[in-house]
Amino acid sequence: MIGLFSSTLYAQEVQSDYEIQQTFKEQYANYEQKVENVSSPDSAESLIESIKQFDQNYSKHKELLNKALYPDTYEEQIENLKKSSIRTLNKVETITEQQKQLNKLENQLASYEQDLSQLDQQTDSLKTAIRQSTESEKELSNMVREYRQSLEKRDELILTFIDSMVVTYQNMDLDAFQEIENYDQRSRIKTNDALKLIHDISEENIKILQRNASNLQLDDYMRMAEVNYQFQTMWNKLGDKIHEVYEGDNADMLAENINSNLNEWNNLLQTNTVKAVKEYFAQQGIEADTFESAEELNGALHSYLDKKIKESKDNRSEENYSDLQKFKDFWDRVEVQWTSNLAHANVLSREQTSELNQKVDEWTQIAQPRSNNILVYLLGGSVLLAVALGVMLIRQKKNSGSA
Amino acid sequence: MKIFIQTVTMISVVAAVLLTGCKQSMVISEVDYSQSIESVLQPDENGTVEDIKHGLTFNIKPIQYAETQDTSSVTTKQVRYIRGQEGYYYITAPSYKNVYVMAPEKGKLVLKETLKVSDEGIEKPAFNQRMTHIQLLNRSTGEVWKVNAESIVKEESQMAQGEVN
Repeated sequence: MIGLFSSTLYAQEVQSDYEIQQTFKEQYANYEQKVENVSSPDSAESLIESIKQFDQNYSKHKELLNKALYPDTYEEQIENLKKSSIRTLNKVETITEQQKQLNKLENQLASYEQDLSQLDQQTDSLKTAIRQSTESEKELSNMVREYRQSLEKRDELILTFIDSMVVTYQNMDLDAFQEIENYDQRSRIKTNDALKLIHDISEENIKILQRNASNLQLDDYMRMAEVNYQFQTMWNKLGDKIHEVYEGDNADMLAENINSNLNEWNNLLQTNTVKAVKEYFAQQGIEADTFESAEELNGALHSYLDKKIKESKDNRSEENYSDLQKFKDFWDRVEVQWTSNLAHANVLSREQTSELNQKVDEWTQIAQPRSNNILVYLLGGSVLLAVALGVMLIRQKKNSGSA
Repeated sequence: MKIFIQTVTMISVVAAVLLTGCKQSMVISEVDYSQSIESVLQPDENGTVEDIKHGLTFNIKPIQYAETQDTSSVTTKQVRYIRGQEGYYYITAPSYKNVYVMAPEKGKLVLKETLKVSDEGIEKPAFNQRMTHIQLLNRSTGEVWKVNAESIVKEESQMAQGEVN
């Protein structure tokens, strides 16, 4: 029994001081390598536990190891190892979270892509139907309305897509992302087709603006200006990250195309919006000077308002007041809803809107027909006179009674 | 004349004292030469071992000859040595029967003592530095010996692993 115990005891080789420090150094280097290579939070956590055990095993040889590790100390080395293992855990947790978000986005993108494709097909077929339509005016008008509604849905979907992109990418740590790729020497982490989808959306938006101008109204363009602005903001903020994460080979080309598409989109939106304002004025009977560009629109609005203010000053007519009402219908929407959109569409800057606003206010103040005010004053004066006469009459009666 | 003799004597005494003072060498006592951890070295084909960390290079062949009476080729695959507190080098190798205590001198190591460990030799020897002595360990069996410059004593009851001093 004792013999068995002894042989078991010495079956494992006894370590000398030299072997202890050698084994420590080897295991330490091994742990450093593991810390470098760890790629999941679970393995990082078990590594941290393993390092704690490593410390427990060797802390009893601290004095010996201090001599072997001089000028470093055992405690410094173990502390460094523990700190770097915790840093790695944090890093892989961040990366895992990022990957989860990207996977989630991947699913969302698939759904957006499908929905957008359906909507694009729907709008295309509606457009074709409108073009080929021999139906009644009412029927055609319904089709156009439906078409505009499907474009509105598409814009809502794009805004949702933008939200998803912002949530996923804005806190993404690209350095951590790159490092984990280096650890595992994996190919680019499977992510998503975000860049491709952004590219496709930007292409489709241009097509919509190019082909369907005649069926769209100012409301549509103002909504599109908002979407465009959000889309560009998202791209400017996150474009580099989305580009970096994209796994396809043609990332540079797609990013370049997106940039040029956005420029074209801006130009088209500006041109189409100006045209839509022109059509709106024609429909509403707002007789401004003719304009073909954003700059000319601003000039036309100023000259229209100057003319109307002068008219009001010279002769406050019902006709002038009626023109004011028509213009105010338009301008109230500009003030309340569209100031930002017109600025984003490069049609009217905020400063230009503000200058025009002052003229609209001036016109409003002087365009009120004078007769209305006189009637109010006369009525007020009559009431006051009646009250004064009544008081005087009562006093006279009292005086004659007491006498 | 008496004054002259007294003056000459005084000058001689002062000169003798000064000259004696100049010849005195400085001595630093209580020097600890101990090496914390043994060195494990591989001899090259000529039997030379080089310890870069401790700045020591020597040839193992004389020790190999003392151990095997053969220097036709270098048969020692590994040399293990440690320096004790008093400055002696304790040298052995796997399967050697002895520990060689060598005293460092100008450009040489001089054998001070050959300490017999066993007739069979130790297959896996190792030295540990302890407070009062050097410990020789048989890593295969866990046997330990207390070694100093003059003697080696097997320690029956002590386990190498737990022992620090």
